[in-house]
Amino acid sequence: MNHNDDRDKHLIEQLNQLPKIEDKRSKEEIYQRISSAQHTKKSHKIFPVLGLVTAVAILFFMIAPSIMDRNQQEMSDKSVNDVKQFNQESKEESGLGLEGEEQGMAGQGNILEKQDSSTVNSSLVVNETESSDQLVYAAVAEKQMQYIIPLTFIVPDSSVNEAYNQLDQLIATTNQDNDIYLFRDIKYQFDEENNQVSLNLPNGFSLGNGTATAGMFQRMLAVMFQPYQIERVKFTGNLDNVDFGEMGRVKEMSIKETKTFSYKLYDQAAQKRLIQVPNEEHETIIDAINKLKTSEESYHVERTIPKDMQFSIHSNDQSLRLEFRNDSSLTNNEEGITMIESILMTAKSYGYVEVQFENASIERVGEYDLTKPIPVPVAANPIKK
Amino acid sequence: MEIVFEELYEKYHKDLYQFVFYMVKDRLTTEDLVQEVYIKVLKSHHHFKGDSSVRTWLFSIARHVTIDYFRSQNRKRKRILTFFDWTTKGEKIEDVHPLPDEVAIQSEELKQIYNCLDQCTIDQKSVIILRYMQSFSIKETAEILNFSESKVKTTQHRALKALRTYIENQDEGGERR
Repeated sequence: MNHNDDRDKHLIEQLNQLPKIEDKRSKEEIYQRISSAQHTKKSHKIFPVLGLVTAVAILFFMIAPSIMDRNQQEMSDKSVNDVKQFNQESKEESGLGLEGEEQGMAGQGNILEKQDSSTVNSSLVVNETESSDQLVYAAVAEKQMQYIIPLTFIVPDSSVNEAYNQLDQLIATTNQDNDIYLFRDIKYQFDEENNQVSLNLPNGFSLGNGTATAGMFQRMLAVMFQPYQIERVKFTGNLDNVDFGEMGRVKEMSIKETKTFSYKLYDQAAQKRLIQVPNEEHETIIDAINKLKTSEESYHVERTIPKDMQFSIHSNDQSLRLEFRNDSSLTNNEEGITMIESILMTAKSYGYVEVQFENASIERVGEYDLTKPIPVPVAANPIKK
Repeated sequence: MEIVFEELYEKYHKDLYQFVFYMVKDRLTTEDLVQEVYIKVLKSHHHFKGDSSVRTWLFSIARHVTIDYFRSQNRKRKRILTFFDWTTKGEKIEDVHPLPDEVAIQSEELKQIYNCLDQCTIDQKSVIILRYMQSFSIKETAEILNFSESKVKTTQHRALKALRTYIENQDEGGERR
């Protein structure tokens, strides 16, 4: 009895000496992964080619069940509605579209004058471009990898292939060392007839472990190629030496992004930028615009609408109407322009083509004539080359 | 949400990670499971009634997440066995993870204890980790495991005995490493 007690005592002492195993990740990384997992769990799944997935699944089932299970969530098929249908449903669910007003102004521009390069520098959106300009839609993440900052390079006299293949150099000119850019050394080949783009990945390309970076990579692809109606991205190169993290081996990826965003202000950039803050599926355009009143200091994301500004929001098909309350004073300055542009980009994300501002205390903010419906911009964060 | 996370992280992350790691013995799995714990906690923290301390509540969630993981592993093993019909030979397939660096540099005795922990039942292993490695009281351990205090005492007694036996078997050139 005593002998056993002594041995137990010794064993307990030894158990107490087993080493502490510490998490090697930072707090920020862990939080970012958690947030990303919450965002991606429902809406960011890969859209695989069934035959390929079946073959891979059988192979994995035979040789690596643990890998298969880990990938299951990411690799499962996803039923994707197209953006238009989704937005229409969102509007119906939110009880909008009851105004019955006949705006009839869709597509009727009221940008007072075409932007020159100086106005591009002060504006946070692209409203109009020369026909010879090529737009390169790029995406970087802020340093905590929570949100995407879309960038739009305006490259004159260039084909889409030429323009995208300059992306590394274009990004380098932004001097944003803290931003996370996942596309270094990738080569692009557009197949516009089939709505596809091929990405030739460099040898050793790696997204690292975990679902967060992989989910962010997929969202960035949507930002970069959806404006060109690209629905599918193919990957080429030595895929045996490519690491997509927990997504496993991927040869192509669907980028039918249906996510909606509130566009807020990112205050860590050398220049002001709009940043995409993703909204949940149940959040309506009203929620999305009201969210523009809140800052997220830990991510350096600032509100674009003053907290105390009062307005009501009404939807009519593709037109959004924002009616200011009498005591809401809008200012014709940089903050006023940012507010208008963040609302316009948020409305665009929900599928609206124009926004009518009513009952504003002033008729004009920057170049925007508030007495007429304003078409939503082409893109955010222009950088003219 | 972030404030809740920060508070949990600062106070409990090291212990939480330690508990899950010693249960599953694999860093990547631990990271995934700890993430799952935080997601569950952040989703439901406003429902927390305060019947127990936050610490025991957090660990009880970790325990559930870990058990779910073991169940999924068992289902997977069964699928493999059915697929290959490996019968009894297949039943002995176990996950073998390399020793973490922190353990590899320890004495042979500690390495042996580390390895033999896997032969205990999940309940025994949970009690050993909580009581002897993380110094939870009998009452706290009972709350985390949803046991009575007397069941904790019985389980810890049996766990120590079982662990001693496994270690002795190894010393005698028993069936395991």
